[in-house]
Amino acid sequence: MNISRRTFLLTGLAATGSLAIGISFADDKVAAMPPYPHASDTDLQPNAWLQVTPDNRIIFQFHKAEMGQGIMTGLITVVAEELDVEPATIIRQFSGIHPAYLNPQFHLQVTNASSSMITCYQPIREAAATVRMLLLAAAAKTWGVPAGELDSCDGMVIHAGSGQKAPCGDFVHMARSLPLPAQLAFKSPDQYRFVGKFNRRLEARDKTNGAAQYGIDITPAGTVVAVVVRCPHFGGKLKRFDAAEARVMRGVLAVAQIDDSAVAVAATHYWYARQAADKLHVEWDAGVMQGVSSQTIAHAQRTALDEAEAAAGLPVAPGSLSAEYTAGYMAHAPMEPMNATVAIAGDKVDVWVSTQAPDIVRSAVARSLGLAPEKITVHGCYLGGGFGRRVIADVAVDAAKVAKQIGKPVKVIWSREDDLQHDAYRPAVTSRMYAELDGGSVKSWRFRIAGDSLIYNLIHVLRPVIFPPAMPDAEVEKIARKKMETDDKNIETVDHPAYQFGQTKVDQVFVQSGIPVFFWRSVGHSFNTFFLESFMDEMAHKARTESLAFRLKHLPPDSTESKLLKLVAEKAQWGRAKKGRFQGIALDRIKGAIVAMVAEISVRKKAIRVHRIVSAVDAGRIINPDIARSVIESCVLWGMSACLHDQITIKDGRVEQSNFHDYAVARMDETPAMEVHLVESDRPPVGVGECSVALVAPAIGNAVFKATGKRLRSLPLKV
Amino acid sequence: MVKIEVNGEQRILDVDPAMPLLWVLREELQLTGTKFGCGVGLCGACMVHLDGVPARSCSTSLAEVANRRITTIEGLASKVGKRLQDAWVDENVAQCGYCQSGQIMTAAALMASNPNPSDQDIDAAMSGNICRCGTYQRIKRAIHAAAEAGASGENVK
Repeated sequence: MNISRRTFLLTGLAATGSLAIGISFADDKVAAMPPYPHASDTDLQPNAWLQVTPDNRIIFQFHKAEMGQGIMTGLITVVAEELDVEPATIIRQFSGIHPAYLNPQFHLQVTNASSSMITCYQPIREAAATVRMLLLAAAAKTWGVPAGELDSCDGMVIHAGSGQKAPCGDFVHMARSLPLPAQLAFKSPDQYRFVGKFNRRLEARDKTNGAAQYGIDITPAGTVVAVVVRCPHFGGKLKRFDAAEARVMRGVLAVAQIDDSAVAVAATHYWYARQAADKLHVEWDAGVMQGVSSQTIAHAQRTALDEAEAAAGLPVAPGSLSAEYTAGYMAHAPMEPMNATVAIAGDKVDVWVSTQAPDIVRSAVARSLGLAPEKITVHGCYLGGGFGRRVIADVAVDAAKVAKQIGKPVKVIWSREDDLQHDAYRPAVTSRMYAELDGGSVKSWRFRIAGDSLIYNLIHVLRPVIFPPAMPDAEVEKIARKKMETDDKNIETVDHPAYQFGQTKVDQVFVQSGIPVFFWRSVGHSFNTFFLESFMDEMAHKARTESLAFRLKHLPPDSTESKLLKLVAEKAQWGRAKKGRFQGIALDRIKGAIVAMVAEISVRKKAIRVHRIVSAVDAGRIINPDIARSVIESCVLWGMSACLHDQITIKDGRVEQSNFHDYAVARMDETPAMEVHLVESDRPPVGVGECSVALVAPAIGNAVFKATGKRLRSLPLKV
Repeated sequence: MVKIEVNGEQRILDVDPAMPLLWVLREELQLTGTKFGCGVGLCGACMVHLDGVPARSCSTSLAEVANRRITTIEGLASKVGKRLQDAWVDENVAQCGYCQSGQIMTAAALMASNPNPSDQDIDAAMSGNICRCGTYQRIKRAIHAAAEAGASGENVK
């Protein structure tokens, strides 16, 4: 990398949002700030998140995607703390889209990259403190007492001196006319009632009795159901189809080609549509991807690495250590299959969809219908899992196309087979590492990786929201290729390893396979942490140093990383596994969180059994400790599921897997005992939704080496 | 016309008797708590009770359930069911929550026949239900908690 670190980081960050292409998109939007979607003439509403009604209700506009990570409870806990009210008393509403809700990291209203808590904590604290101060100022004026003598608690304003007490709602009218406070006062942490203490997920009850509504559960009157039969070969086309048999089947309303590679079948019920789709006679043109397989892709990556190595011509010292590692494609497979409902009425369009990025949906639907984005309303709901998949608006576009063609509101539901075969996958990559050791220390360390560019694919996903609708495909393609130069996703974590190595050199080469790839829970860490942390153990082995000691030797002694490694070792009884059990250790730093992990496993007849996984985590100030622990457990299971089960493989440019029988995921009977140790931290809170995913594979792999002497260098792990 | 009993109500349905019960519940009866996950009986998101026995509604046709007693998550009114729901809330089980109707229906059927299941019993009964958020450890804890609450005669909330 010949650009300075700082420049590179800034460019890399911008590359994931609209700034990537040098268009000040966010500024344009902010310039014309429209009214809030929930604007009221009577409520106190000094910001986009909060309103207090004259009848003393507090309403929170939830602008994020709640997909299991607990951010709805997290943000409301922060609000509740500053307003000094029970979190459950705050009314929750899905906000809709508004420029005030743009994610400052990405300039989109997107829930991704563990960025919600890190970006929202301070603005939402400020929003709540503003409301509280306005209400107190209004009460002070009404009662003729200094605001400093007033307190508020559980929806009441209290003046201890005079014993006066009244509901906050009584002061809404007056507060509306007051100027915003010049300086905000926040509650001091020693007075906290909820932050760091509140452990009840607010929507938990609705998620145990069937009441929680996901996109797939919402059906406006008159909606019909459609399924989409899409060319299974990436980049392939529809040649011809015969729908004569399908059209006459029970419940079928229409069969229509919706683009150059898909046919939709609409019916009164999902099952009728699915039955009829099975009776379509379709001929595909497999296109340029014919002959492309996982093997040809891996071969191309190795060839590219060979060429890059030859071009670099770096010396290889005698006795140095080198290894090649690989990782396969992975699907997101959220439990709620992809679906979207679109209703078109004149030039007004309503969309119901479980999405991480409502503004991408809005622009994508607008572009496909030839309308302005302002004409599209995207309604909020819970998400049955996201994991990065639901940033992509593909299924909403499917629904828009079908709705337009048949002139009825349509819910498109993808089957699980559609989901697994038309995802955008965690990239398959090949990496090579090289190390020169000197007296048990790493004198130099080199890393090179080959794989698809995530940013290239991201630009295409963002196309509707960052480019004018009329921009030609060739121009978009040119920009996407250009942006690959700033893509640091495939070198995440290895581009700034926690460890102090003598010399470090990190390079990458992009090998575009034509397989769509995308952000998958923990992104580049999901493979690079496996590569680096496995190789750490290889180097430790070569240096005849114990794994933990080798890591500590390469970390500053007082660093959080060192402390967490020591803590996790202590909690996991490192080095004291009982007979037949073996332990592996790993470290990762991701999105502001720092995690150390020990896995304890056994291997019998080539089968890896994971017995226990202990994590030690510094995620800054913790808002909801038990929810954080539960989400960190989720990360661990996600990481374990991915490293011990199936991968997505490609043959003839199409995915070979189709459902949970050949793309197996973790189940209860293989769940290890999981312990999560959260450390006290003065840092502001960060997200935990991805933090402990990527360490699981190396922790297990390092333990497998101890158990079998076999070094596993491919994901998923196979003994 | 097929006659079924859902959550204590008689329903007469004019759809193809081969239609899976899942889609009858979701699209004819608007009982959307029962979820579509895989469509082929691999994930358990669509679990309901047929005469008290757990069944995957995506792989059970309407014809097969004629004149039988169907219970969905919306109609889970047994004491065991309520205790499980309470325990699910207390243990912070649900994350995205999409699979949890199916998990609770499977757990309720387990506990109806085995009020104090062991870890092995729970693994055996629950491993047909997939949770992509990986909440299995807490599900197990919640089932034990519900069993304890049942044994001590604790009232449901």
